[in-house]
Amino acid sequence: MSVTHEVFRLAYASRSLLPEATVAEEMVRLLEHARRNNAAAGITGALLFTEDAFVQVLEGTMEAVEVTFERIQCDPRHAEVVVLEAAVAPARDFAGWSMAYAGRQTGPHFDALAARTHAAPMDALVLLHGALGRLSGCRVPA
Amino acid sequence: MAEQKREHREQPCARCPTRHMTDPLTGLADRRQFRDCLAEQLTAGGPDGPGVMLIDLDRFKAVNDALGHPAGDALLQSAARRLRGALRPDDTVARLGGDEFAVLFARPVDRGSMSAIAARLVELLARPYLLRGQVALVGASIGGAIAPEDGTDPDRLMSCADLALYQSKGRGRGCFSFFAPEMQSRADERRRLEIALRAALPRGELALHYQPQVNLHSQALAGFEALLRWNRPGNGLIPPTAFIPLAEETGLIGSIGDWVVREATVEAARWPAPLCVAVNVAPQQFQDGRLVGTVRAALAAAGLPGSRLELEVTESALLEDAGWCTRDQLQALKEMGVRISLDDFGTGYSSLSQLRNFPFDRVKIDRSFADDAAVVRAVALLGASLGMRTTAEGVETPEQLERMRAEGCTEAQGFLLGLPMPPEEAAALIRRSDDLLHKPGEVG
Repeated sequence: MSVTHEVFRLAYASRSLLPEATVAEEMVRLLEHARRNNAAAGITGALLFTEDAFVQVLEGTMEAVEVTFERIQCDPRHAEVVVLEAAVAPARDFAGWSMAYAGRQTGPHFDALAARTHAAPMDALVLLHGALGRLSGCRVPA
Repeated sequence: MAEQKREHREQPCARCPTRHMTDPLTGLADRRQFRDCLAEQLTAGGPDGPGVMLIDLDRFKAVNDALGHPAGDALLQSAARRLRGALRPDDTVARLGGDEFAVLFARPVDRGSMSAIAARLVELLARPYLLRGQVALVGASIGGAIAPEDGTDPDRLMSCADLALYQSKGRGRGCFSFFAPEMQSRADERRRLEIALRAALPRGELALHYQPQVNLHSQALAGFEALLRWNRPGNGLIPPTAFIPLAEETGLIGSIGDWVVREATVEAARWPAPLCVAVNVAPQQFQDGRLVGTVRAALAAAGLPGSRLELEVTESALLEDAGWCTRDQLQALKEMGVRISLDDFGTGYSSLSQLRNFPFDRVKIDRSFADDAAVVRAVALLGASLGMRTTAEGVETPEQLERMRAEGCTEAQGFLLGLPMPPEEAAALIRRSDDLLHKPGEVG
């Protein structure tokens, strides 16, 4: 079926439960796992980490996104997951990035992301692209 | 968020002889194995007995209906993995059937830790599911019981957890409740009430009382609203609020509702024209599709013109209507001359599109607005512009009555104008109805 070759994109926001004291190490571990798993599953994407929220985009085959997302759903390091977007996309936005990450951002807060679910998917993608733009030049291992 | 690698291998409790009985869909223990594990643990039990949780997924049926059974099965598998992954490997996790799961804690738990675990599971299971590209949302209701205080027998402990689960659903779902002894007594009382209610109709214990409705323009009696009463032996006269919800839940509302229509039309046929009788119709009465036939037969048997019967429906009856079948039935009733009024307006969604989408003959303003002149005026105006009459409910003082008239309501009812009364008193009131509004203090 041709469907399996289409790019499926999912974006979600969630509230971080990472303890502030160990945030730095936790993020290193988290990204390591994400990149290893994603590379194996053909998933690309980007992660935004604000003071209290994660916004993540996953791109890949529908099946791979589904498996990856469900694994993320079982993760106790976050809660209150809100799906911002789940749809077939014309192309990958983050091709070449097994999980792009631009360091911790100052905003927006989880409540703002979760409360504005209509505007949020746009915001999330804009934010992620903004983060990526700032990254251009400095290479992040893909 | 990164992904943690987790192995979700089911590990049935090691002591159990029946470790191969698993649910084929999820790989979790099945009901029999769960019960065996629980019995085993209760027998082996030290001073602190085991704790059990029963978990129901809320709105699972809607997902199944909307996305199909394969997607529903995939959701159950994901929910099972989430549960399994959130609990200790030696805890027993089971799927008892449908969307019902159970947890048996391998180690003693106190109420505090069980509550904390339950809160985590409610949140975890309520996270979105991605099923073949579609996002599905369900919730989880959980009930818990702990041995030995709640029971020392496996079936007893399970039934305690079940009652607690029922409590969680009653509290609005998406939450956790512990078993409490009063849940048992309430369930017993409910069962007794249901048995008695089933017998009430054949034993002639149901009766209709009639509350006067007055035309505010002519000051004349316009008719009565028929209100159901249950004369339960040994319990006196029971108001509908105490048994209608149970009747709706158990489906008894169908036969009770049919009886109300027949009884009210017979009584109204004894009144002089053009006095009307208003009858409340529950949402369920539209669902079994019998209402139109019942009304037609009742009118014919009583010899009452359709125009002297008014059916009161609530907004929720229309909102619960998935298709257009309620509206079709209302239309068929209107074609018989029966009038339709929208009851309790203002308490629910008070949707203007509801008012516009169906040509109601009347809007009844809920009693809670009796003192809110602005709301009364707005609804009366809205009714008038849509060609509907408006009844003010809950009129208790002459000042309220005067205000309702001034704000443009066409009819009123309330304690000032008369309490619900048995049919003989209603007949007597009709005889002396001429001076009803002239000396309102003497009526009712």
